[in-house]
Amino acid sequence: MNKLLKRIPFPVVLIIPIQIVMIFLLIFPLIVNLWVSQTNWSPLFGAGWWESKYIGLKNYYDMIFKDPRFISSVLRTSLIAAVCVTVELGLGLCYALLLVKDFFGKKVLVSILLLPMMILPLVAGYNFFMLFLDNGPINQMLSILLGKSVHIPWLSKPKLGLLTIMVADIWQWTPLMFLILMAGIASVPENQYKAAVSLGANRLQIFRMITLPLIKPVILIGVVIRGMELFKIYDLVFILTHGGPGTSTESISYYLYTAGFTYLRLGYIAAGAFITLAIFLTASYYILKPVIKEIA
Amino acid sequence: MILRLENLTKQFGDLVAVKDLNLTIEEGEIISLLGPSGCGKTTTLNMIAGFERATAGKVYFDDRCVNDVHPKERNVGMVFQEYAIFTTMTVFQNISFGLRVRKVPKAEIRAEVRRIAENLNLEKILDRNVANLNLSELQRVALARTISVKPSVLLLDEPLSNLDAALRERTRVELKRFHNKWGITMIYVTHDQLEAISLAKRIAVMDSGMLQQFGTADEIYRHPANLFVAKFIGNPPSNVVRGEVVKKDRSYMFKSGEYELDISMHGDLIKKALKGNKLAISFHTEDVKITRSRNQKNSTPVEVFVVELLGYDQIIDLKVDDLIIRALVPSSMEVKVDERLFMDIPVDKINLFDLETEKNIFLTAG
Amino acid sequence: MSKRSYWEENKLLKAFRFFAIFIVVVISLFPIFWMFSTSLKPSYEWTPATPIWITKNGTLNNYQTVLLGPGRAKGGWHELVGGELTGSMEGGAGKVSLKGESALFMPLFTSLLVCGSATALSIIIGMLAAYAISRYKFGGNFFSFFILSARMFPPIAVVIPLVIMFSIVGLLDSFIGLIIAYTGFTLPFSVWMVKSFIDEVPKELEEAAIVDGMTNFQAILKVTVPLTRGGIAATALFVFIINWGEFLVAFLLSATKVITIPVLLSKYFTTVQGRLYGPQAALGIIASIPVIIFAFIIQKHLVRGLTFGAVKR
Repeated sequence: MNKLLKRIPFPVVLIIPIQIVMIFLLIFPLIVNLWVSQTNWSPLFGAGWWESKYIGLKNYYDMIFKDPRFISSVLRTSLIAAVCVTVELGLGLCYALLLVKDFFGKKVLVSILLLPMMILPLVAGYNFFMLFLDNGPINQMLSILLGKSVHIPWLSKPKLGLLTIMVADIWQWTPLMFLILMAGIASVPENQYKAAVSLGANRLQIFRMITLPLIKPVILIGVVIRGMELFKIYDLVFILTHGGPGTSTESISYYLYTAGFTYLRLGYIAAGAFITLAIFLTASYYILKPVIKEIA
Repeated sequence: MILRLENLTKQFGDLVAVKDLNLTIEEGEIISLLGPSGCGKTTTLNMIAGFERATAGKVYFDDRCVNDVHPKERNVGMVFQEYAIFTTMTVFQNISFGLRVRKVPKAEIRAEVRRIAENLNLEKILDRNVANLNLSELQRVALARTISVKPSVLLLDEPLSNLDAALRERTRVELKRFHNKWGITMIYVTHDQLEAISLAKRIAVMDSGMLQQFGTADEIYRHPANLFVAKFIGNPPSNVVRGEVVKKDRSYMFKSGEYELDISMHGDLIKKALKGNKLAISFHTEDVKITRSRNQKNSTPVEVFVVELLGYDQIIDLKVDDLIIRALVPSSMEVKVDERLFMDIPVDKINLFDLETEKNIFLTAG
Repeated sequence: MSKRSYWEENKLLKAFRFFAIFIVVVISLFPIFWMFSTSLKPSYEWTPATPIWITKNGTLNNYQTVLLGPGRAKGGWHELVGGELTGSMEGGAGKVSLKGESALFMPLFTSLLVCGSATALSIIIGMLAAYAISRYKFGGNFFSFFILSARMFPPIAVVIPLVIMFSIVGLLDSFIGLIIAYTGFTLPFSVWMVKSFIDEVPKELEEAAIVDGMTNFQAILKVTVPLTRGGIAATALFVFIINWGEFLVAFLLSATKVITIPVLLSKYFTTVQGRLYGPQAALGIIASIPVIIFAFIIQKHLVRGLTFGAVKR
């Protein structure tokens, strides 16, 4: 055995364990998915997967062209991702700019600002559920502010539900963008800043012409990473709206889960999963390429 | 513009970085702030530029006190040790930065940048991204960037420190040529006396936040104002011997341990300017004469302690009683360790320092 | 745009900044405050018509419920309905029963075991791969992307086949199954974060060790690992935090035997008795404490972990 190991180049030996896990966790499922998706397997009808019928690409066809619920979940998830990333980026930038100076207690303040990120995502979801109840504090505060009784059904109307989900995610993950941007801004070489000042630039010009271009790679990383996670959004949808009312606030993950375990048309869902995978992979590959260059 | 520093002081908490600095720099001069690390030269530079606010004292541009003027309004050009070129821009964009910030019309910018670039041999690389430039090009871009806004004074922070010897030579020449062409007042900070001497017309030697001496290289070399300057200036560093002066009949003798030197030729000066009798003398290593046989009747017998060959010259450490005197002589003279030789010190070339004040009595007398 | 204090900003700007920071702090802390406050509320104060901000009838019942299980906690909601928690939910592997399983002990143990083991595995495997990528540039961009993709897959897409595979090998609703899944999903973090730490150790040190006669493995163990000890520890804590909060994967792969804390949390949401805000809040607080402590310890390295090693302080 040792002799065999000695003939394999060292780096290959190192990556054997990770390859095993990845193959087991990623490749096999992909292959199984691929296969299952081409059957009409559904445990509801009592059959084990080895007894289901091969139906080729019918599941795919059905999902893409005959399933508005799936399509709208894709669109909706894209919307959530786009809005949340943008707002988190903007707010994170504001936080970072507010805290550029060193001052007494800055470390403590930063820790406090990071707290939202450190609560379990599910727990954060619960909190927002409570806050946005019809008779919850948000409505209460709005009532006081507007002088009249406000009972906005945050969690039971489609558009509002979506908004609540976005607010919850923004609350929890803006600190991440803040951290990333703060690190980026801090890494601007001080002498470049001084040079710009001595050449007559004011703060806005310095930010626009020097800081911003220098933190572009950092922004890109933040956007990609956050966007990646947002596409998979599940926990918040689950807690806040259960995809409802009806199916109007479903994200891709949520739809696949519900359809999968409620209707148990697993073959169909496998196709959905595969399509989603395909979308993710191609989109990420092109977006991640510049990011990989930064980290690799 | 005449730059004037008046009682300039900067304190960081308990640390006094710059103390009561008084300096006047004429229009178009190149002067150097020279001193060891931590002497306050960079802090002074920062106060001129506006990046540090003076704790006390004033900075005057001509007759205008600029203490409260924000650095971006001072129109001071700065060149940093690592050049601080804007890495996300091209050469053109770097040079045009100051003009763009002032919202100068595009056509004017293009013309001006071309003009400057041509003068500094940068016109061919105007569109290149700065990532691939060599050190010489980087420095020229840094210079071009500053003069585009016609600053009243150019401040350079250790411009040659991170260059190797050969490049340093070339860059020094370029900087001199730059100054000749643009005639701009230049102040640069360095810890390297060779840099200071070769580039600057006058040198301000600083130590521990205080100005030690401000004069031409020649003045500083021939008559260092105090012991610090005497020890700092000179390559290799000058010899400084502490001792006392003893008056014997009509002659004055400098004594340090067993070593004696007749300094009667400075008798009047000593009588007039020296309080007490504690004296230190300094003389350059190249002024020390070594002979194989007794040259004059009061040549000092010495023993060779260390010999260091430096190519054309050699440094010889000579042991005289408890003292070590270093001499710079041509390598052609063959000297061996432990050899016994004779040493003569030209008394007309020495400087005398009152050990109480550490000041050169040549300069404190009338 | 770092500005040292050589120029004071004017008073107006300073006041504005202070005000803005104040607002931000309030927004950041408000939901957490609400959770804390709710955790001390008796059941009739959970969803009154007018929300109660600070309870006057503070009680530790919710914490008792969480820690001991409804059967053994004194007072509280279950006395109203006279009995244990009942209800069920659809889990990935079948109906999940809630009977008397709300005590914290088992889920805590499960979470600790699963998260701890998965973290250890993830770090070890990841470390080896990180070394290969850092020193040998193994696989170039493709391999890097491949590892990163483990984090990109929507878990739902991978879970169905995983359920099938696990059910074949009997790993469904098992500790080992969860551990394997958790490990896989955190590998990208392990690999990339550790890689960024290894990058900071000069190659020459290992090469010197090899010249001195060590094997490759020994060089890693005796040279690289001690030097990156801090970074590896930070990565471990970071991965642990991620595992600790993982919900979907655990939810889908467990039924009755392995219930992690997040899954337990979700149970408080869908019981027959309605949503149990009090215990949920209490559990939320309890579950978040270790995370907050760990996150505070590795605060310096948080950015590095969250950006897969791309951004370092």
